[in-house]
Amino acid sequence: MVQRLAPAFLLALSISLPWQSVSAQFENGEKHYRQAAWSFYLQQPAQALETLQLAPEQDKRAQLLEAGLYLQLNMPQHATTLLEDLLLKAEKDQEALPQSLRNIALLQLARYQLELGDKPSAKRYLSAVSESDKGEWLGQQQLLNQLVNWPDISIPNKPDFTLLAMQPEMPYIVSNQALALARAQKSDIALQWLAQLKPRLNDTAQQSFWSALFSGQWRFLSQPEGFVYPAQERQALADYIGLTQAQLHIERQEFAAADVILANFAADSALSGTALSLYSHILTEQRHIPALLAVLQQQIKQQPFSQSAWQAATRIGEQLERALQPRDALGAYHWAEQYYEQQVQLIQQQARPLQVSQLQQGGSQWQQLQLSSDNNLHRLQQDVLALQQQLADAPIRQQRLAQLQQVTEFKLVQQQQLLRTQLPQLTTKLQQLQQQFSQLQQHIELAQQHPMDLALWQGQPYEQLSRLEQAEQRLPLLKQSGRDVQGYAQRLQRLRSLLQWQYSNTATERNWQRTKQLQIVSELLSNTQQQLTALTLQGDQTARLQQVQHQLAQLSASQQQLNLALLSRQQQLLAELNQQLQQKLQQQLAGLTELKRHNKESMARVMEKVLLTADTTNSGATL
Amino acid sequence: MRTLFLTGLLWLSMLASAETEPVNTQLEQLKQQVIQLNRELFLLEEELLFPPETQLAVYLSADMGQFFQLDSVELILNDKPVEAHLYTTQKWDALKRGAIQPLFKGNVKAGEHNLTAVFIGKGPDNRDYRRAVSYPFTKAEEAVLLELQIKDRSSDYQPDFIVQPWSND
Repeated sequence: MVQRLAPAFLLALSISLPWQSVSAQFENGEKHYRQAAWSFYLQQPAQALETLQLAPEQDKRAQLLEAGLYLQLNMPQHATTLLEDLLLKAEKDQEALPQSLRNIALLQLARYQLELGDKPSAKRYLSAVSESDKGEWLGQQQLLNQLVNWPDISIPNKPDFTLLAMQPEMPYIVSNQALALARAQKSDIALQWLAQLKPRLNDTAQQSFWSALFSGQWRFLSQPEGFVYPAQERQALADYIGLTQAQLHIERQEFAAADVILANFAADSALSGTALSLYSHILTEQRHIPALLAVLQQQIKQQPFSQSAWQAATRIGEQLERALQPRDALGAYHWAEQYYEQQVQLIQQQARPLQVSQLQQGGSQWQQLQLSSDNNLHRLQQDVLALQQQLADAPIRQQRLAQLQQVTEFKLVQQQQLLRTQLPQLTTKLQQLQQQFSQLQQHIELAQQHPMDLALWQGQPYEQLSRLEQAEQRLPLLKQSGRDVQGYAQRLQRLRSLLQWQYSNTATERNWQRTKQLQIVSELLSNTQQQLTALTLQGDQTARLQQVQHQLAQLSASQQQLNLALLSRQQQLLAELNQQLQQKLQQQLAGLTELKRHNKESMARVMEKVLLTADTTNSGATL
Repeated sequence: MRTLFLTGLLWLSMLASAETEPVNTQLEQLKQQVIQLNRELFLLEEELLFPPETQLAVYLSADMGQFFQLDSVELILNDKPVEAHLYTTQKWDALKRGAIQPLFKGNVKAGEHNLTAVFIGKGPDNRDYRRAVSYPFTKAEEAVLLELQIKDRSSDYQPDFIVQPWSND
């Protein structure tokens, strides 16, 4: 059953949220949420967080995802602040937070408080978790309760396999209960419970999206089969249960039963070191010297640089001594002496201070062992590497900033050029068009009021009318000079009538032409005005672009400061890491010196015995 | 039997790791600063490189996906290919779980345009399947945001490919 992220919770929200919230803004938030999910599924939590935070408004589910993403980025404080805010807001607004979301928030807060060692706060959050939530969070709730109250945990009459069947935490819960039973001197019941638990580990337990998000197992989300319990962890659990069973058998002096488990313990298990130690313990108790010697040799081989391997080296001699083989024991002690010398040299060679590049490759074998076996060292390593990742991203960010600075500069230059050249051109064009427009308007008005006005005439008719008018103006002058103008006047009158007829015959067409022309000019005018407005608006953008330029300069400065801060913090952490490794080195060298001293004493003791035996033999031979 | 309880508590200590560890506040603050810086940078990139007047963004989503399994998508804008994407199982799975993929972001001039999306994959009965969907649109002052949706059509058990414009609200 593949858990679907969006539809499942969409349903939950549509039930609990009021209708008006299903608005455009909600849809927008939903889109951001689903885009964030894309980055999340592609294992890019930082990208997912960025997308989510760009949403104009976040619903509660998005806030919960944000908190989970902060956890993925190893930022638990931000995650806690968000979760507390989510719960507080829901309480304040008296708005019903979906029960499932509320329980997730409460459980994560409890878990975080527990990690901080604040058990009372963790208990407070746990007590607020609702139990009627279809049992989805029961496993996590019970496990956290065990951790908070350890060792005083509640133990049912029998392991609750049915109730916890689909809970990934089931093996942890039951094995913890078995441990508590063993502490209460009920190791027989504990063994029964563990035996019942072991075959159930093969059942596929599934994790919900939220459970996987907050448990840090989100990498498994990418597997096609969905949120199945990781096989590697299942194997580790099986090994752990086997080991616990062996321990309980040893406690009950049932060495044969423990032997069966430990003799078949997987050599590649994460717990093989503990298994070998236990095995050597029972073999010592049972005096199975040959098998014990083999186990001790295994310990030396399998666990280099470990306390158990070093102890095993001297114990080989001890066991041979116990087996009354002093010469072999002496040889073993000699070998152990050389082994210790070799180990001291190797550790000193391999414990040189680490640089970041070496840390990225894992460091030497000794360093790898220390980093993987100590929580604090491991955390420091992870922090240094996380900072290195941030520092590695810095040049890309710088490149993006440089590109934006170039774009801004280009846009500003383009803007100024546009304003310098196009603005005057457009203004002149606009003025010309406005002039043309008003002229046309005047002509149309004139044509309506004075159809024979000269201003309305054009081309040949205009010339003819002009000549006619000139001739008409000359008539009074001719009359004054005593000439008979009667005939001229009549001819001129006829010409005027002819022109008038001609004019009125084409007036409609000319009127239509003028109106059409007016329309064209009007459109041109409107376009030019739009262009001018757009250009003026672009001119307004200059201020914004300058602002952006300033912002980019600030970001660039912040980026440089941040890089310095990241680098300085990384160096601090690296120094701390190297210091702690040096402390480990000194402790281990001191341990080795102590073992060497002990080995030397044993060697002297055996040598004395060998010499005594040799003397006795020699005396006997002489006699 | 000291070792018994020491190993027994192993899982408890793993779960409640570093119980007494102090939280690295400074480190978190630095990480938060990086997140803020990235966000500001992204917003400026949007404003300068993809302003709404020219922005065209295409997203992809899938609903169910029983009748189709996506192998690749090609985007063709005004007869020119602008984007091609191949889908791994992980990516297709993410889409089926409800994620939306930001597929393409670019700039177009104001006016009429045509976007064609070519979907290639496996259709019903695991047969090779190829479908193209065209969407004419007009670019004006606002950004054009389009979602390509792959849906199951239960009426004839065939996949359906839809182009859904997003509102800019």
